[in-house]
Amino acid sequence: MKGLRERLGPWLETETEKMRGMTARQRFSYILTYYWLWILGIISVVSISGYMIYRAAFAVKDYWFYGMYVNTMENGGNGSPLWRDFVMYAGYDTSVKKVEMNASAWFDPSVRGGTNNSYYQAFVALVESGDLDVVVMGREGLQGIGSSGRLLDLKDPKCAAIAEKYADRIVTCIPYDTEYSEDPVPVGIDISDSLLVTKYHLYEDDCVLGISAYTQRPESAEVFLDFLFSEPQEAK
Amino acid sequence: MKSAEAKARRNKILTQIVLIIMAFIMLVPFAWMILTALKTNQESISVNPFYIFPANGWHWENFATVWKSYNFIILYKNTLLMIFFRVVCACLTATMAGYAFGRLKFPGKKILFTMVLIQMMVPAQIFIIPQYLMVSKMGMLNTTFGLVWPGIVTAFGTYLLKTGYEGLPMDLEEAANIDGCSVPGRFLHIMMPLTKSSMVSLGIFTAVFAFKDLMWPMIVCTNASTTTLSAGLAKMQGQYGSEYPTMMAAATLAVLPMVIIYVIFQKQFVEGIATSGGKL
Amino acid sequence: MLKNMSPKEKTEAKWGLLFVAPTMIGLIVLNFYPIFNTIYQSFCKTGDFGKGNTFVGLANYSKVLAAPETWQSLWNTIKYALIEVPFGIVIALILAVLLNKKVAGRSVYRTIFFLPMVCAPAAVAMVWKWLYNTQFGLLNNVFHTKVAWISDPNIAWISIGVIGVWSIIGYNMVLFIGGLQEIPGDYYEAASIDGANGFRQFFSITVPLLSPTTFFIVQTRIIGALTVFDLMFMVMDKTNVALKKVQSIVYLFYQYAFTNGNKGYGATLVVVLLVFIMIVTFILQQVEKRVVYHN
Repeated sequence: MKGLRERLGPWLETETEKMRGMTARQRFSYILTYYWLWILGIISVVSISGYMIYRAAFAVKDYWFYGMYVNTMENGGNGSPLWRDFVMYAGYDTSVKKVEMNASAWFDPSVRGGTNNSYYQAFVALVESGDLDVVVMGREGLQGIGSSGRLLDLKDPKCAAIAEKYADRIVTCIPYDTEYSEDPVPVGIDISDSLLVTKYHLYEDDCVLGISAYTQRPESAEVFLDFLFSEPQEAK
Repeated sequence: MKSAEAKARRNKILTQIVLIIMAFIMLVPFAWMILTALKTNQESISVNPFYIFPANGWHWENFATVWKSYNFIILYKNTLLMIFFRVVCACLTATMAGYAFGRLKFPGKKILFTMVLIQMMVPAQIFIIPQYLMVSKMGMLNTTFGLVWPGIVTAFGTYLLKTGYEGLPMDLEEAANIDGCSVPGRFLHIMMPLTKSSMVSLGIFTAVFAFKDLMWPMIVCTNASTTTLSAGLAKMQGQYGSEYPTMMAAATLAVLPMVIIYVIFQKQFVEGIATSGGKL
Repeated sequence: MLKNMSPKEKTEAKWGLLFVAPTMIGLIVLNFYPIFNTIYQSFCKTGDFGKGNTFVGLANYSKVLAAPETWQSLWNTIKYALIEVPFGIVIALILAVLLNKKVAGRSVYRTIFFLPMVCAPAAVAMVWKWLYNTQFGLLNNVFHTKVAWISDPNIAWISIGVIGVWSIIGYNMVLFIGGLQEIPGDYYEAASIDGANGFRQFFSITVPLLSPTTFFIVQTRIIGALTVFDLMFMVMDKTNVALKKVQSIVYLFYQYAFTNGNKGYGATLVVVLLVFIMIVTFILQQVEKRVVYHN
């Protein structure tokens, strides 16, 4: 550092000396020719850091709710009727936190091939990072996911309210990990007669909802379930 | 003894034969892909081999269907932006690190380079979740920055350029050293320009890998306006499930820009020979 | 060590560290943190259904090392590498040499050989699945055979290896062409004047001067072939009889970590593979000192 400061003085002197005899225009082109790389570097560093700080400070990063609908052909993503009605029902303010719905995932845990692995890997990444709250799939598919231990055991105190309220709709699965339990574990809630099927037609009739095992917001799952079984509002 | 001319001609013909055979083998899968894109759904499902060529006319409208159902312009734009930044970042960081590993002496060089190699030895799946969390916490989901993030540094590129720098003659650098040229000076003005072909290779590979990358854009971009070609088309594969003609039309359209980019860059390769002073 | 260096060497060392800094910082943040995380996970049993990691010491390792499927899949991976690496390199080298001269249609050929590289892996898998189909596949119908290319446990690995070679030729070729361009043309001219023919020139000039590039390709392709996964995943169904004889270690890792949710076991597989590749790399580095020609 000291060496740098020592060299800065003389450098500044020699440069100002060189530029003494030039017009403003000549000075500008001189600087541009010799220091273009430095200028470019500094501009890049400043603009990128500025952008990063801006995003880190102001971008909406947290979620009210993050739901994934697998193997559906309908539009259930952000901005869809389902999304809008849910936000309205729950009264979430989307400028504070995001409500995210992802209806672009097609995989079947029993089949391999094609883009299957990529969607599935994306799903796993979302689950294990704690962002995903809720996943909706066909019964067998959900049981397959449940067996891998990625869905919340409905006996867990975190979702006691949900387990109680929807006790008659529980779907179970047998975990791969026999150390955890040899008996079926409740992981899913059957929603084949909810608004998802009747009003929004995301699924035909076979659909089950599971809660992510790593979710930070089990209460939002409860809100979503309540929404699904609420009285359908008239289209506005 | 055959005359020199006859021998040369025989070699040329032999070369052509070999090339044509190899080219044919390379192209068979592509031919099938394009031909399937031109069939109707019915024809493509019937695996009868006599249906290699579309029977009832060539259905170019499959391409039109695909083009209309997706906003290809946005997909191309997002993909090209991501590729551009990844190539720039990768070339910058890799050329600096490659020069250092290849030509400079500094403590810890072996250990650091081993670390570079280790990155290549593990399956990419283990990086996804931590990197996703980083991007999410930085608020960079659905941005180009988020798409570029894993590609900012490249272990493969570092190794490639290290090999490139090691292949350069030492005398040039020693001469510059004696003349009192500083390290960044001789790097910038002498050594780096000589590794042009390695950098072009790196650029091509980075671009291709970024283009094919499906996992990462799928996780980071959930909005249709920020997604890339591979993720956008994969979505179609999920939606159209088993409509092979449309899928193959989409796959063909996806490959097109890459081929064009390669043809452009490939000319750089050839020109590079002319400007680097009498090399082959 | 720092004390014994002359000021010039110190400057060089400082610049060296500065130049590698962006790459190393990037690698540590983006890649090493996950790698250490994985190593830690290999010592844990990852919680099911929302429980955290529970430390189990070497239990995962004893399970992995005792399971015969681990060794079988390691052997499968080696078999795959034995096909992809040599054939991919030799064929690519020949093509690169041919395409480095003034051949008619050179640009066209280079583009054609480059095409497999840019094709989406899913599309490639679909096409080859059709080609290899036992009843309706192109291969069986053209050669009038009834070979079960990808369901016969004895030859399935060869079929997959062929796809691997097909995909990688363009990639290796681009690297070889880059390396060939570094060789000054004067050497070839001088050799021609001295009366050396094509083959002689190839073995005396091209091979030695190309050896750094060749070594680089061998090294990276061995690492790449040993970490193969996508190919087998997409071409062979879960129900394929030949799967046990083809699945690679990373395939096994995917099955345990992603499908079964047993991340600890999967992490252990990754560590085992990592150690294996490091040993192979170390051996290769020793070979390099003897075989590769340096300036």
